Amino acid sequence: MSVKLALGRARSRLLEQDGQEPYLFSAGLGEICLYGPSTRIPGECDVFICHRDGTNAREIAKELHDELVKMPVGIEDVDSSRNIKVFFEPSEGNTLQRDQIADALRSSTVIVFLVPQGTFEGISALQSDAPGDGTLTRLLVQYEMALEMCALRSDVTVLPLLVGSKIPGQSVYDYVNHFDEVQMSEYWPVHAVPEDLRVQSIVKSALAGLRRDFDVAQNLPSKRLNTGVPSILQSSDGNPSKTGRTIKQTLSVFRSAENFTPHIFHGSTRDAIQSACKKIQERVSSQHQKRRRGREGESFDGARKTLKKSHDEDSSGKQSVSPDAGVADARKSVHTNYDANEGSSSSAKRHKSDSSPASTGASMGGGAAGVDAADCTADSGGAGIERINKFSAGKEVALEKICDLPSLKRFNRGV
Amino acid sequence: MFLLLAAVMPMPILTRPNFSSGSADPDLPGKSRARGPEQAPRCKNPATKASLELALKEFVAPLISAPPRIVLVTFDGHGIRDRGTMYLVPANANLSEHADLAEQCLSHHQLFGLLKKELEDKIKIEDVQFIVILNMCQYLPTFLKHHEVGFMEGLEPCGSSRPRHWALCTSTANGTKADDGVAEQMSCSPYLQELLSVECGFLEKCVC
Repeated sequence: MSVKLALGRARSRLLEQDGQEPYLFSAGLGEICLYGPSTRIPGECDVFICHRDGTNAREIAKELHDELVKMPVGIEDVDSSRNIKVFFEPSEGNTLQRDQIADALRSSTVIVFLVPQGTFEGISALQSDAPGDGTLTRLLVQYEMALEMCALRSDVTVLPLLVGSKIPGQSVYDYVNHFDEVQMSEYWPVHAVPEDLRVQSIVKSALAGLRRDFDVAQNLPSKRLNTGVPSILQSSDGNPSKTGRTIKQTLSVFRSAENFTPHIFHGSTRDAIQSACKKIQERVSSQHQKRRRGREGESFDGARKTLKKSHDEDSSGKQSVSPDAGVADARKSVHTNYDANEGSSSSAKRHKSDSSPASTGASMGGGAAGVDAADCTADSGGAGIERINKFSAGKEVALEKICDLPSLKRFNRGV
Repeated sequence: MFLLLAAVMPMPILTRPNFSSGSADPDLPGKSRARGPEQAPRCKNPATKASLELALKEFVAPLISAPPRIVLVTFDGHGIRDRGTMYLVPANANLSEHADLAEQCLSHHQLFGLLKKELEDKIKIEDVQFIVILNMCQYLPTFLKHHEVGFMEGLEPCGSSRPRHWALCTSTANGTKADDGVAEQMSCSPYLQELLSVECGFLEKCVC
């Protein structure tokens, strides 16, 4: 978490309270962070198996783990040089167990929810001041983190595994019809969750876990997620005590097959394990490719910047459309907003609609401080960045097209 | 009126300060320390400009031998803004004309200058961040208005006498009055309270 972002976020939250009109002036804070950036997540994983402690789901989680670690990451020709790394429970060691869980979850590309019936037993009695050390609250912390990770990163996916009831005396699991509302309500008891329930210990633990990663901490949104629910930081009604989404909203998102299509864990134990592992491996392979393309996109971005620099040098004195015009526009817009607001209480009111920290940390007068392009990606206000990202992440764009400046110009004009 | 001073120590992992006991999170691997507002030196109702300056000097003096990562100064009290200068008004200030402002009040330029001169210039570490939060009015009473009509100036501290990394947070906009609040209930400024909130994430780490 950088100091600049923290100050900007505090300002945004004060503005939401509709009281006074706080301002922030700063210089040179962007490079320095309170904690992070971490260079590497210890115990990086591909798959995180999320299950409630003390239930029979642990047995399934272990079997899935044992099978998955024998399988290669890639299905076809994609990086089959190593096997899948799986996390299903913390181990004894120097790192705190909660940190092990947080690190494994943040690094995984596929988060598997093991959901047998009764997973959320006791949820109807959950209180807002519930302690964070219960098995249910610890599970819900992971659900909250998983939802944020999905919203933040396109290379992270959640796969709910609905575990059928075990037939007595046999190693066979019943089939689950996930279109059957009655049956689904036994797996996802959304109806039993108190309205407006937010558990402070869950929010704290989830935020602490997410903020172990510098990039995640910097980019936690304070707006609605793409699944239609508020983010963990969002203040939906301007009341800070009601920040973030409710437990009910979180469960509803995961219950919705439109958001996360479940896989049914049924049949004989062996068949069910193998079927689930195959499904997970497919997801891992797919997400692995996405992540790889993302990395290629980053190097592509680097090449673009080099090109832009040389292009700017070549065309000094001439007006040209630069490949980073979108970024520049966004930056200019941030400065303009800020300059228009300082010193005028009436115009400052307009600024209230902009809760982006990126738009708060600007310079005064002599321009000692700058708004970094990276700032624009924080919460909102980064239209230019978004355009650039879409472009750079496009796998069909061949690297040699970097030199095709007209095509870049067309892109920047939105053609 | 409060002048609150805090220093966050340069540890790799920071924890939210334990306001009641001041101890670090015992669960954290490795030591981590942070001095929070409740532990920080606090100067209540400084009578004069000199007492404000003295409080600041006494705060930064011991930091020279153990430079912090962040120096945080918050001021909750009477304030006046005259163009590009915000004045911290001491409790016993008796202002009758414009010249009294500079004589009896501490300007934010002087505050940043003092932080630079008394701390930054005396340490070799270059990445200390100086955060000043001013929870006060930015209003200039009519009787203190200067005859000269000046340009609207920004609040950027004077270039030659400010620390390298600085931030100035104000509770309200130019020309407006700050809410008085309830002094007895005000443990720290709203800006600082937000900074320390779970949602903001400043100093928040491993809280369960």
